[in-house]
Amino acid sequence: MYELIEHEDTINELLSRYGVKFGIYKNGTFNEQLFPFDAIPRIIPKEEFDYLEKGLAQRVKALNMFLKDIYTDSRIVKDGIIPEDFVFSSSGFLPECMNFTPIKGIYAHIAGIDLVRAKDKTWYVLEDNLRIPSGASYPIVARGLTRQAAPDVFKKNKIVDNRNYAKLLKSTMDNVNTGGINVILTPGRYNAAYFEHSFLAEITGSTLAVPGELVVENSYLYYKNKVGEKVKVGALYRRISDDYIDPLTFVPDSYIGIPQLMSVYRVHHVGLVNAPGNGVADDKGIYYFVPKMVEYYLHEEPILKNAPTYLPFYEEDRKYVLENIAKLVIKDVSEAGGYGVVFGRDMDEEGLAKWRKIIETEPRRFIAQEVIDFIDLDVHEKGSIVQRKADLRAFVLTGETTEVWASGLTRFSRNPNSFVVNSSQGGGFKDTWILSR
Amino acid sequence: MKQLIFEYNMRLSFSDFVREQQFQLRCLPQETKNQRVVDYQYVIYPMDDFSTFYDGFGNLTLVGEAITPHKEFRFSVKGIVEANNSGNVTTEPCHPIFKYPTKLTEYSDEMDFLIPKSEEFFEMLLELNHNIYEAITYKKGATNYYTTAKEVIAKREGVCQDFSHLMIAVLKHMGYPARYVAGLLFGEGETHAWIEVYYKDSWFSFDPTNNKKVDDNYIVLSKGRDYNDTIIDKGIFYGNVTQKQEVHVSVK
Repeated sequence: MYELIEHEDTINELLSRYGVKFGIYKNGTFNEQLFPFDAIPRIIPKEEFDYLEKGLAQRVKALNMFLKDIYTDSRIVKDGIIPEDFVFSSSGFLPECMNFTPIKGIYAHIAGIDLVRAKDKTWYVLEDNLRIPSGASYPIVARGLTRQAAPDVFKKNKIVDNRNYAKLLKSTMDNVNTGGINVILTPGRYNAAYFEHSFLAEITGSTLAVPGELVVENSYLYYKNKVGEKVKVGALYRRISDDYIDPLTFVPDSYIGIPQLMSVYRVHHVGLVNAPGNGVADDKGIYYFVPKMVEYYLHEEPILKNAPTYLPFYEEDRKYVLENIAKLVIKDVSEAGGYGVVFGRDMDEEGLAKWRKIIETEPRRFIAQEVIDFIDLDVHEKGSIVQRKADLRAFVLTGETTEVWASGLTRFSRNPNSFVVNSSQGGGFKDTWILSR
Repeated sequence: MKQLIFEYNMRLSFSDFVREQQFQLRCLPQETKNQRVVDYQYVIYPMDDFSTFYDGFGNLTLVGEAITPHKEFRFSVKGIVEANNSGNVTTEPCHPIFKYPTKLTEYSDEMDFLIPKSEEFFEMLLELNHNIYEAITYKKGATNYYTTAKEVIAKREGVCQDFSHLMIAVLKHMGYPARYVAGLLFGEGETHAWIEVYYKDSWFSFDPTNNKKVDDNYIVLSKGRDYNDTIIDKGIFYGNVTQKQEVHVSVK
């Protein structure tokens, strides 16, 4: 695999030429930056992937059942498995989605589950992303370019082809399509993931729409093409966050939303991928309860482990957190993208005291986790091989069945001392090879 | 029990033509345990098409479009309902969402003096209703749609929406789930708002603006956590205009 390094510059150059970038807002200005590709792939043997596949499908099934439950009967709350507070005071819980079940009861059509592998080889789930997880396009494009640069490598190694993502995504949309075209809605050119939106539209044969091209009429959603013809939309994979999708229901001054979308959705005239309101299930506070959801809804033992997590909300956990804060990582439940994460070991006595106080005042706002010593992956840097922390975002798609894509996005930290691998924090990515035998 | 004949008229005039107006109206009488809808009819003009759906709180909502350019938008609904609020109670489970304050119904220490002294539940509610009625001066134009309960208590002025938000804020602070009701009140004038509080498997309705328990003179249009969930008419359109809204309500 290390022979791929010689092609790395070429591939990165092509990635940049194709516009495989992501944008980032910093201090109010928009900058597009490259997402550096490291040619050394992460390799996952077949048996290991089989295990992950079972665990991930199980987890996503339970999360979908949880979402369906809490927007209707809330049995899991009534039965005392999850305290009411964690569901109904979460900013991700949208009352606008209550008393309603989406087409075929699916909420998280596309789930991005972030995992890390510890030094003892155990995989841990760090985060579930059920809103609009991004990143699937990068490994597909990088794989394609690598294959062109070094076809032999793919003959020698038995690697599961990852080009089936297009088919998976298309059938996921088709499954909730109410009769009409599939559309991917992007906020536009200045969105961090614009490249991905256009790429996914291309490979799935969907129409890429920008706000203003979609209108509601007579309780149906239509795409208005360039010459003003209207085409009915059956499924909408919207890459706009919940708050902005419908100014008549959510943030009223959203210019990127579609007025009345929610009323069309609630009468099953259009399938929305993913469902609005999923934020309540990928909240860092709810994360703690996911293994319990697996037991509660599926009556199965959870296959995948969570990182050891404490909820300061519970007195016993709070005590532990306050005493052991120096070795823990503290996460703000309302933040995402690597923001709002602090490590106890990086703080002096004053900092620790300050955080103890914050946690005591607002216990519901934080979770604390043991720091997992992830396995390091080899990364090529300026002619030498260095060791860097990495995670894996696995993509789990739910159409007629729940399928785990045999690939994924491996992100690594470019800073040798950092555990934070998010692309918004300047990390790079690798291809993820799943071996077929 | 009382039969009420009601009429709600809304007229929106624009200073110039607007087009592609999308409207969302929560102004149909709701069928509830305490309110039977005998008959109603409505007119929307101009209107190219419309449909209905139930929102997250179960409110029957009219949605539609007026696409072609127009300078005026009108809606009127009239009908007959049978109000049966004797005992002022609805037995209905409480969704936990009504326990948590919204931005409009957040509590502040300045509201402490409103907290009633009575121990018995109904006396306590009447006292709170009265305290709010006494503390706030009814004044149109003093507040707007975005005014929070915190701002109302600082200002001591407001309309039915503000009285209701304040009462909800205090009730939630005291540990009672509460919700906001938008509707119509016997007589002539505008739309009205009041509150419901949950206690021992039932909802009890109070009108702090009028220092009253809700009786058979009230018609429910929609319910939610606060004003934002129950907005009677919402709309969006293309056009750079100023608009004027006139509402007329009559309940006999």
